[in-house]
Amino acid sequence: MRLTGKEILVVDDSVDARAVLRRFLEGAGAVVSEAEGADQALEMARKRPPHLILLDLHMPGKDGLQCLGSLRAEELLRKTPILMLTASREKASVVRAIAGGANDYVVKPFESRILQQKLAKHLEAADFYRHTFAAADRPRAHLEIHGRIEAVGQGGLRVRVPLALGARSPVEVEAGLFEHVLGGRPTAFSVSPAATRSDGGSYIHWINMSGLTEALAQKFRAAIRDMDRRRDE
Amino acid sequence: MSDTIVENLIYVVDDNVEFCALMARHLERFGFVPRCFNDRDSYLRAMREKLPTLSLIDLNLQSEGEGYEVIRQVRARHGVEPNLVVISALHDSASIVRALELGAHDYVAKPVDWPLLVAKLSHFNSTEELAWWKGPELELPGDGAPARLRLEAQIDSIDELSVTFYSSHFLPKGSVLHVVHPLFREIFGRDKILVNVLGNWLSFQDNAPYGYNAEFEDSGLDFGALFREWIGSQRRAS
Repeated sequence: MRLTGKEILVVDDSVDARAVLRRFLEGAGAVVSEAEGADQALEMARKRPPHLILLDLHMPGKDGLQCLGSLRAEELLRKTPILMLTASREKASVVRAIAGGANDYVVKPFESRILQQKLAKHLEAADFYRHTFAAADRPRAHLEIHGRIEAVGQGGLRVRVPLALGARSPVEVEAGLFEHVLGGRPTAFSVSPAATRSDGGSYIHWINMSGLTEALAQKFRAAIRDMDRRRDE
Repeated sequence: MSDTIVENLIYVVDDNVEFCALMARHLERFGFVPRCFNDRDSYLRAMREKLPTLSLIDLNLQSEGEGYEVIRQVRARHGVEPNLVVISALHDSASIVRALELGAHDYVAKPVDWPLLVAKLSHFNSTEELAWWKGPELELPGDGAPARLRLEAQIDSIDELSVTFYSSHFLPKGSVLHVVHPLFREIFGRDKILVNVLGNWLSFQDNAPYGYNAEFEDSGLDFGALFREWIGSQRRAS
């Protein structure tokens, strides 16, 4: 399995251990960042949450277990996979780490195939970081699509677009055509689609320009008649 | 109710009572007024009394292929006007072609793709409103004039790869479009992001019946890194 683009934070006080892991992980395509202690790890992970953390269990000062507790206390890092790096004699600590929220452990010196399999498994299972808005606070966004105005009628437009507009749902149309017809800058009209036919891979919509003021509509109609006349001549 | 014009009246013709009830429940939630018929005769009787906006007809009523006979009889008696959509577990194109040849307008396959069904039914329902479209009509030369359409949507969530949103418009899977919101500038440095619709579902929300998950498509942006940096800053701020 390739780890392309996956950001992995390696937390170990040994510069040599970090270098070995970095070489291995970068070889598989991961983006590696390093922390030499618990405080630095917490700061880095809070600032830029990684996809996975490799955490040495035995470190001077705050050890791996304490660091694990601090990381898991962060709301954003609750689901981030954390794999403990341990020496084989630290079995009791491994049990405590798993109980404290670690996802798995890797025994040093690591067996590359085992490490690779464990990384693959936990990265696959990991929930992506996600920001969900409360229903009442959902940002009102716009979807923007490109289409073509095929015809202009007295009441509106016939437009071809690659998707099905909802009946009676508001749509804003902006087109250089309006500039040509009405003069001035490109204009956006608020319209409601009233009818739809699917035609091959695209949809034809008859869009009722109900938001058009009467004065503007008259100008629009006159301009269309004028364009039509000029085309006939 | 029968004395007034019932908008969105839909006749569902299927001998499977459970399926009929399930279909009716779905249709009701989207503002349709469904009436279920479990056999041919009761449906044809109802058609003589009142024509619906549309009929959804199971091709395998009681005996195989009876749906075809229903289509034939409706067309013979009522002409081309009534909207008929066939619904069938048959996936072979021959049976669908036969139904279309007999005069069905469209078809849906079981298991039902609900977003697609509701989108199709909405269009049948709205075509009668074309009365306002009057000439003189100016047909634009060639492919017509380019236009940019803006549709409303509500963002539900954003993650490293995609955005989830709701809308009243039906976007087929594979639609490529821009999602525009100032929040994207804050996160990705751009006001609008090109996305590809990976999935759609019925959301059962007022004014926004379709839910979508759409993957970020823009090249040259490290969406994952930028997003996680942003979500980290949100966390620190709170």
